[in-house]
Amino acid sequence: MPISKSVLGMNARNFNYIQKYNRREYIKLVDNKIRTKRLLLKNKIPTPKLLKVFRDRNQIRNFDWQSLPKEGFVIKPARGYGGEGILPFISWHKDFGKTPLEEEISQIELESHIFDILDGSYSIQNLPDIAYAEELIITDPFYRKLTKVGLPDIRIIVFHKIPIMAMLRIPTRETGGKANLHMGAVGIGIEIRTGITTSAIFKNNPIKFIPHTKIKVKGIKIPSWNSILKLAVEAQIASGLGYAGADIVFNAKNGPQVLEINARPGLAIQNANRTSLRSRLERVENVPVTSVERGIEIGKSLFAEHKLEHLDTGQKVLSILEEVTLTSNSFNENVKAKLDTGAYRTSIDKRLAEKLGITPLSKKIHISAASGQQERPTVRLNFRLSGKNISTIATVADRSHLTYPMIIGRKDLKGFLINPVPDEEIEEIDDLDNLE
Amino acid sequence: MKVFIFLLITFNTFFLVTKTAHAQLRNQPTSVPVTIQESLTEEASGEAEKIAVPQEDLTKPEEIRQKEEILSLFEKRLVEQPKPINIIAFTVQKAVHSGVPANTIILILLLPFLATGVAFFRYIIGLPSLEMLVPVALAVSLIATGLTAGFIILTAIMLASFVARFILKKVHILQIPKKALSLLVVSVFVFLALMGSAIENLIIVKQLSIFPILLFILLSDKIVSLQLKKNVSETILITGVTIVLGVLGFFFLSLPSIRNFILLYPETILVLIPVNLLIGRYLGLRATEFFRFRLVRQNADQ
Repeated sequence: MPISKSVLGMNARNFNYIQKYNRREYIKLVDNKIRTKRLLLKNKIPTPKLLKVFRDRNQIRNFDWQSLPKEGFVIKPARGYGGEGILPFISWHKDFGKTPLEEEISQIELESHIFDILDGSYSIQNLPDIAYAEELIITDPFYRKLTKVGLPDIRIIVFHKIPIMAMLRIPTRETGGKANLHMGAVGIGIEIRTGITTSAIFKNNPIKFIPHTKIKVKGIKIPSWNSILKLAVEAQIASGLGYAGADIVFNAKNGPQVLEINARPGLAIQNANRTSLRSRLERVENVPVTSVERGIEIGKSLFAEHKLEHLDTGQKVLSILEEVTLTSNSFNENVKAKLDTGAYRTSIDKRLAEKLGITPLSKKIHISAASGQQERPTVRLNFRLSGKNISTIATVADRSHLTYPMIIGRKDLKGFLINPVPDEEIEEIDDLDNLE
Repeated sequence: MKVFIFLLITFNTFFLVTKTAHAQLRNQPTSVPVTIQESLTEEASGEAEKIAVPQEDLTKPEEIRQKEEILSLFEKRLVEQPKPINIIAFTVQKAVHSGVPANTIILILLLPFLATGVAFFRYIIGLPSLEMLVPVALAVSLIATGLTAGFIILTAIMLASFVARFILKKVHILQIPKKALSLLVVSVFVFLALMGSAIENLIIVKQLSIFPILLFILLSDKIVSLQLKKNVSETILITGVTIVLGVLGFFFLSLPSIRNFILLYPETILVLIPVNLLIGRYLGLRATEFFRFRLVRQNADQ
C-alpha cells in the first residue's frame, strides 16, 4: 500500500482512526477524568493524586474546607474539555485561597464554582457533571525554566503501543496558563528517537524562540525521554483505546505523571513537528506489537529524523582509562584517571591536589585498602567525566609510585557503563577478525 | 468595544449587500412560465416601493391566484398515470390537487438540501456552524419574516448576546437560570427593536408572524451558550458562519426558479443520497485545513 504523504485532516482522523480504533465505551471512560485516574492507578501508572470528589450539593455543603492542603490544589470538572472550568490554587488559608495570578478566591466563590461544574457549565454538552480536587503539580525546575506560567506538558500520540508523534506544550501568559494550542500555547515538536526538540509553532506560525525567553525552540533535550515514552504507551494500553493522546506532566516531587488521556487528540501536533501524522500512522497500521518496549523501539527506528541520525541515545560506555577535567577556583587540569569499581571513593594524588590549590577538609576518612588500614585526608573535588559534572569528596593519598594520579571510585560512577577490557585488547581482537 | 462596533457595521453591510442581491435576483428574468414571470415583475416593483405592498409570505398557503399559477406550472410536466419513473412527481401533483399547499411541499422538499449544505460547509469547506438546527431554522425564519425584519431582529439578538455575555460571565449562578436571564435580555432587545422599527416605519410589524420571531429568540439561546463558553473570536466565527449559512439557505428557499423546479421534478432530492454519501466518505483535507497545515505541507513537498 502506498503511504500517503498528505496531512491528516479532521475527516480522515475521525473516520480512519477514531471511529475505527476507539470504541465508544473507552472514549466515554477517558472523557471522564476521575474514571481515567482510577484506571491509571489500577494499572500502577503515576498520576496526580485525587484529593476529593464532589458528586452532589450535599457533599459541597458538608465538606470540611479546612482539610484542603495549604500548599494548594486544583479544582476540575470530570468531563470538562479544552481546559475549561479548571481552577488552580497555589495556597489555601482555611476559607480563602490564591490563584496563580494572585487573585483571592473565597470559600463561597469556590463553592459556587463547584456548583457550576456540577450543573454542567463546562461539560461537553452542558450535561450534569462531577467536580474533583486534585493535588497541585509543582512543575519540575527543568520545565519551569521554559515558562513562568501554567503547567507545561508533553502530548504523545500512541497508536497500538507505538509512539507516533510527540509535542512539548508550553503555556504563555496569553493562555492564562493553559496548555491548549488553540488558546495560544506554544507547541514544540519532539523527535521520537532522541527526545530532542526540532521545531515549534505559536498561534499557528513558526517561531525560533520561546516567547518571553531567549531559549531556542530547537535542540532542547527532554530529560528521561525513555521513561516518558514508556508512560505514554502504558497509558494507551490501559485506556483500551487504539489511538490515543497521552498528556504527561512533570511533578517536581514525583517525576513524570500521566495527567489525562485523550481519545480525540488534536492535529496541531503535525504543525509543531512539520510532519504528517497520516504517513506515520499508515506505516504502522498493521504492525503487531507484543510489548511496550518493542513498541517504543519500532517508533524510535521508524520515526527517527534524518537530521538527528548521528546522535547517540544509548548509554555511553567508558573504558577503564578516561581523561577527566579537574576544576578548581584558579584553573582546570586534564588528567588520565583510572575507573576503579573496586574502590568506593575517588582518590587523587597529594601533589595534584596541591597543584590545584584545593585545601583539605577537616574531616579524615578511615580507609581499608589492600595495603592495610589508613586514615586519609579528604578534599572537595569537582571534575567532569564524559560530559557529566561530578562533585564529590575524594581522599588524598601519595600516588607518586602509581601509574595514574587519580582513580575514580564507584560512588561517582553512577549512570555510567564501563567496559572492563582495556582498549588495546579490543584492538587485538579486531586484528584476529581481520586474519580470518 | 471597538471590535463590537466593527462587527455591527460588518453585519449590517452584509445585510445591505444581501438585500440588494436578493432584489436583483428577483428582478432577473428566469425560465419560468409566462404567468409566473408576470407575477414576479409585479412583485419586484412592489419590492422597489418597499413597504407599500406586503411581501408574500412563503411559509403560508398560497392565495387562489398563485394556486392557479402553480396548477398551470404542472402543465409543463403532465403526469396522469403513476409509473415507477414518475411516482414521486405524481404524488406531489396529486397532493397539490387535493389541497396540500404547494408552499408547504416546497419547503419540506428543500429542507434536506439545506441540511446537505450544512454538511458540505462542515466537512468539505471546514467552517464550523452551530449544529444542523440553527442554520436551517434561521433560513426558514428569514423566509417567514423577510430579510429586513429578519436582520433587524438578528442585530438585536447579537447585541443582546454580547450584553448578556458581558453581564453574566461575572455572575456566579447555576447554568439554566443564567440562560433564562440571557433570554430575558434577548427578549427585551427584540421587543425594543420591534418597537423602534414600528415607530421608524422600517417594517410593518403588524404583518410579522409571532412564530418566526419566537424561533429567532429561541435560537439566540444557542448563540448565548456559545458566548458563555468560547472566546470572542471563536464565537464570532461560528455565529458568522451560521448566519451566512442561514442567509444562503434563505436565498435557496426563496428563489422562484428553484422552487418551481423542485415542485416539477421532486425526484431531484434523490441526488442528495449519493452527494451525502460522497461528503461522508471524503477523507481528504477540508479547504480551511490546507491553510491550517501549510507548514507541514511545505515540509512534505521538499
